[in-house]
Amino acid sequence: MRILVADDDPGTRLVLSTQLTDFGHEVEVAEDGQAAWESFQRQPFDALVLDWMMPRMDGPDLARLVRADDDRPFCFILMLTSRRTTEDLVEGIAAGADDFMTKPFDKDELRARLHAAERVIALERRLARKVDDLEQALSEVKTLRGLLPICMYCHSIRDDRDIWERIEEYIAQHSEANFTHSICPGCYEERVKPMLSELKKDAEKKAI
Amino acid sequence: MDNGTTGPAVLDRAQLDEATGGDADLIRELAELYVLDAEAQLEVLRGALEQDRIDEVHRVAHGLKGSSASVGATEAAEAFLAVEVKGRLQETEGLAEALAVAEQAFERARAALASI
Repeated sequence: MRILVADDDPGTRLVLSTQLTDFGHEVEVAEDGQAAWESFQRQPFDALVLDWMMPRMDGPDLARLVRADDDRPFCFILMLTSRRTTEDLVEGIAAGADDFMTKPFDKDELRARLHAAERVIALERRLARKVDDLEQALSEVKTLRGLLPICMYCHSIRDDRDIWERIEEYIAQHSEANFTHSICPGCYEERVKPMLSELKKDAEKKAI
Repeated sequence: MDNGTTGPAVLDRAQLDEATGGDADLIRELAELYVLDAEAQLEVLRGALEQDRIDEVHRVAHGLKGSSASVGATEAAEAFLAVEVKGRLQETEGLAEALAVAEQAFERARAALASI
C-alpha cells in the first residue's frame, strides 16, 4: 500500500517509516496535519496513519477533510495516538477514522491491522466500482423515461429531432435492447394463417 | 533500566527493542532524534509556562509524553503526562513543579539512552 504518516514527533515518524517499509509498504511522512493534507491532495494514498494532536492541523480535522473529499478513491484512516479513552475513540471514528491504535504501539498489531485495512480498501473500492456501474446503467435507462409521442395507428415514435421512427428502432437507439423478428400467436391466427391459406389456394389453381 | 526505586523504569529496553526491532543503528538514530526534539520542545514548554499559555503547555507536554513512551522512557512519559493533565485542566498550581520533575526524568532518560 501507499501510506502517508502524519506525526509531529520525529522519533515516531522514523519508527513508523522503518516498520511500514519493512512490511512492504511505500511510505511518505508529514510533520503535521496541514503538510499531510497538502501531500494527500497532490497524490493518491491507500491509507493514512495519523497522530491526533499536531500543530497547524490535528488528526481528526484532517480525517474530516479527507472524508469530505468525494473525488478520490476510498482511503483507510488509522488514528495512532496516545489518547486512549472511549470518548477519544468515539470522537476519532466520528471524524472519519476507520481504526484506532494507542501509543506506544505493538509492531505485530500494527501489521495485523494494516492487513485488515487492505481487505477493507479492496472491498470499498469494489463497491465503488459497482455503484459506478449501476449509476451508468441508470443513466442509460433514464433516456427511455418521460412522455413519448406515439402514433395511435402505426405506433411510430417522434424523437427529440421531430422525426417519426419505428418503435423498435427508437428503443434500439435509446437502450441496450436489440430486436429479433418473431410472430405472436394472435398475429399468426389473424394474418399468417389467411396468407398461407391464400398461397395454398393459388398453388392448387396453378396445379389444375 | 531501573531508576533504583519501585517507580516506572527510566528506560524500558523491551519497548525500545519493540519499536526498533533491536536494530542498533536505528536505536541510536531514534535516541538522538528523541533527545534533540525533546530539548527543543522543553524550551517551548518552559516559554509557554512562563507566559501562561496553558493550552500550549498541554499540547507540547502531550507530544513529549508520546515521544518519551515511544522510546521506552517510561518515567519521563509519566512525568510529562502529569504536566499534560494539569495543562488540560488549566490547573496552574503545581505546574512548574510538575515540569521540574519531568525535566529531571528526561535527564535520566537521556543518560540511559546515551549509555546504550
